[in-house]
Amino acid sequence: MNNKEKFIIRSSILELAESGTPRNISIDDRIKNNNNNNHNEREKEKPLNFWDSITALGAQLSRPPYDPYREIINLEISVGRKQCQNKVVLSMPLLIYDNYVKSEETSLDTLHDALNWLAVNENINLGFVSDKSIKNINRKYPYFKRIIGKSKIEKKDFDFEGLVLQYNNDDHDKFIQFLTDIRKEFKGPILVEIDDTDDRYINSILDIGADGIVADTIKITNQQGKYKGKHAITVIHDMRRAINQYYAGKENDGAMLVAAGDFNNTGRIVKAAALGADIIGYSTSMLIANAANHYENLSNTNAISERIYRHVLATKGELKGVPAALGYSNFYNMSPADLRTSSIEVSLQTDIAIEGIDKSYRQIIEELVDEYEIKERLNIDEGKKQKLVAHLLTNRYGV
Amino acid sequence: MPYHKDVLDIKRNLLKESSSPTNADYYDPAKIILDARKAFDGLVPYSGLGATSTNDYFSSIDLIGGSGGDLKTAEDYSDVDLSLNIGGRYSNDIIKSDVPFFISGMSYGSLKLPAKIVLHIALNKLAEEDGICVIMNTGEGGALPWEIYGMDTWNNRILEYAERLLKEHNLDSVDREQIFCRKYPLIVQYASGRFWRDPNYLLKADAIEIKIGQGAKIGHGGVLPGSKVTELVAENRGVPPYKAAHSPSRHLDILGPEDLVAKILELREVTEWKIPIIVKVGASRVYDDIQIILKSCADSASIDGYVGGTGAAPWEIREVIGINTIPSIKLGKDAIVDYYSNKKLDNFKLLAHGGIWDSKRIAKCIALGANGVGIGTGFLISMGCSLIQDCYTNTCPAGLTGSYEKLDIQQSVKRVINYIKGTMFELQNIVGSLGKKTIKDLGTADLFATDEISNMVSGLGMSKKNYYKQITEKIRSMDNKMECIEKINLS
Repeated sequence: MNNKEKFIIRSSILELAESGTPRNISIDDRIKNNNNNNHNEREKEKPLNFWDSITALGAQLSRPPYDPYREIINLEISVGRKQCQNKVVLSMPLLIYDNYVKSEETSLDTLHDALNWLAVNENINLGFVSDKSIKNINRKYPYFKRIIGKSKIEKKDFDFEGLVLQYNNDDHDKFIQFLTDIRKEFKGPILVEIDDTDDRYINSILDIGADGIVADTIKITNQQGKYKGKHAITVIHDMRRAINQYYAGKENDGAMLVAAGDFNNTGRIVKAAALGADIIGYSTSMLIANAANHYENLSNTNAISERIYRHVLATKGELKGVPAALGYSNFYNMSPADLRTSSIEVSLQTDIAIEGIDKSYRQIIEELVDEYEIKERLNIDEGKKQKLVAHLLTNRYGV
Repeated sequence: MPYHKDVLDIKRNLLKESSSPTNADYYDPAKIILDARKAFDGLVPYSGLGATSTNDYFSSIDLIGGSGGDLKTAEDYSDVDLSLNIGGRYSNDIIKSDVPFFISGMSYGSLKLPAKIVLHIALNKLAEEDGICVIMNTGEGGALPWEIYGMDTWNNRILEYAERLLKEHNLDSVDREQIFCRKYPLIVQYASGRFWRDPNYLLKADAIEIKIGQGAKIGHGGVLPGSKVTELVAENRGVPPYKAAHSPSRHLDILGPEDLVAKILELREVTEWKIPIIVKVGASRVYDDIQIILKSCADSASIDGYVGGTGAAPWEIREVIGINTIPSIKLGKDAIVDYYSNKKLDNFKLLAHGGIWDSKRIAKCIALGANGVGIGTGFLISMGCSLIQDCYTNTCPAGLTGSYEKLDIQQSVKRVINYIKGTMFELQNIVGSLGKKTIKDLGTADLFATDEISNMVSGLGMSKKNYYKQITEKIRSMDNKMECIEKINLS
């Protein structure tokens, strides 16, 4: 329901309330007419926001909800696989990621203060990822150093708790060597930013001992490649599947997926987590909360830090509230089965079940093909059936 | 800590940020204001009314027939039966309404007293002057004295409280005879907060609704922000004033199906098996929840869709959790059909809420399988709500959910009556022009959907005549190209 629809609904009800006699046209017909007469090309071309087409199933009778005000809801997560000696424990599934908006020194200082206050006053340990150097003096929060384009780091420079390495697509072998070397020396968690779900990257990276992969959804969906023009949800879905495939038949020893990019509110964090992300690289929203520093007195960094501090507190409240309402006492227990979508496109890209049917679009089509096979007394082998399904998925009814 | 800028400044600055080309793709102003609010007070932000659905399917589902579904007709269809009866499955009594819609639960506290009085007077007038009986639901905040007592039974304490309520809201001039009586059926809510201090609350009701969840905050319980808990509201609810009144996310004594049965039996004992009991859930795991309600001793189930909600709800909970009303009715109906597949049908009723604002939407819901629908926001709009969605604050510009804005009682009563009567006439025309004598005759055969997703979620398109046909045609054309399908003779 957009603002135009709100106006239609309100004026239509008021028309009835003023006259008390039947109207000429119903609310739905007015909305339809409005959509047909919409000459605003920009509005028409506006793509569907996939995030808003996904909702989660709350708990009620068939599964009791938790009470976030009276019961403990776990948000804590440990970064690092079994073999990682110095694991980093985060109080919330958030890593503050500063790669999109070029942070100025003042912004970094305010963020530094806010993260310190959170750690000291509230015992909230949030990770911070940056390619800039963070002064170690009085730092109370874990810092993940992001390394781009380097092939060596001296041991004396290990003034960070975690590492984020950017996978070098042009020179796979060199990167693998670099990762192998640094894994031997660095005892904290190492995360690797990758652009593709190809087994070649993921398997070799995890084999060497990386503790997780980072999917920068904005970067991946904007650059040339199979995800060009796709949505962040597809990237998260595929990355999670790739990690699960790596662990097929084995227990996951803590390798995690960090999704960074298109996350600017708690709803998206929760949906991304349910889709398979373990940690969210959360930057833009924080910086937007911080954005007033472009207009306010820059010397008053305390006010800005305080805003970030409060923003995180509110976000923590929200992050506890949603899993509790879904019937989980642990944030990380959410799964794609808790999600529903009102969009066929979303279901196609992520296999999320469609609301009201509780099956994904692919499942529905597969069932129809099976039904067709039985009714028409046919015998279709599995490979050909898959071809049929693929054809039907790309040539949809009514499209 | 120095802090000398107010929230408006932050909002203004953030909105400037959002209009820059680099950010415009990722942010919309509503979300930025949300961030600003979080940064301002560090609290979970709330919002009023229901969620903003990207697709509620109502405008892509329509009624079949040349003149079918006309709101205005030359014919007189005033004899079309629109009545709704709730109860009789386990209860001895039945509540009857002349229209298939009723006023959804909006409590005193969530609504200001003048708005509650408008709805009360309007329903009294309709019953007295037009003989139209419409059901009202109290919401979870307890009932007002005139809702549960007839004047003949009032004692000094009740009279003093009622007079104080009116005086404090500058309603001294309102005609007591119009207020101090009730001529319509009343459903009282039995919610997890137990916000009622008078035992007569349950005994004097015409029906009880056990509220397990609601559309805007499924799995979260209710909340009335502290700014709205005035001294009088606090007195009515039995809670401390000016402190947020949180009701727990679940009933502490209803954790599963067995507990629900025990609770319903307990309420039946208290009310001597007389009055109907309804169980209300938000739309999420609808099939399972309705199955549980069917197996309990309830008379009716009520589903509140994603868009439903009139009071305060945490913004993200409201936007993230729930499914739309149309698919929830379909799932509810599926559960009922499955349950009665080997049992004799009884008087179980399915009620739907959430985004149902006018006659055509009511007709669509009933054709899909609901027996009745609840309307909340529609009544608020008819009283002057401008959909600002600030219901959680004390600054409602229409004076409905808070603030000192004065509500014109007589004018609003007239509008509410018009809204009910107008909707009723339109419904009669819709049903009559489809050639039916009663609204109960509406069914899925009277509906069609115009797109694939609406076909699916409403259950309309899964019928063999359109969706399957389209799909099989595609398979055949593919088959011809691929020559992959080998016909076998099974006979």
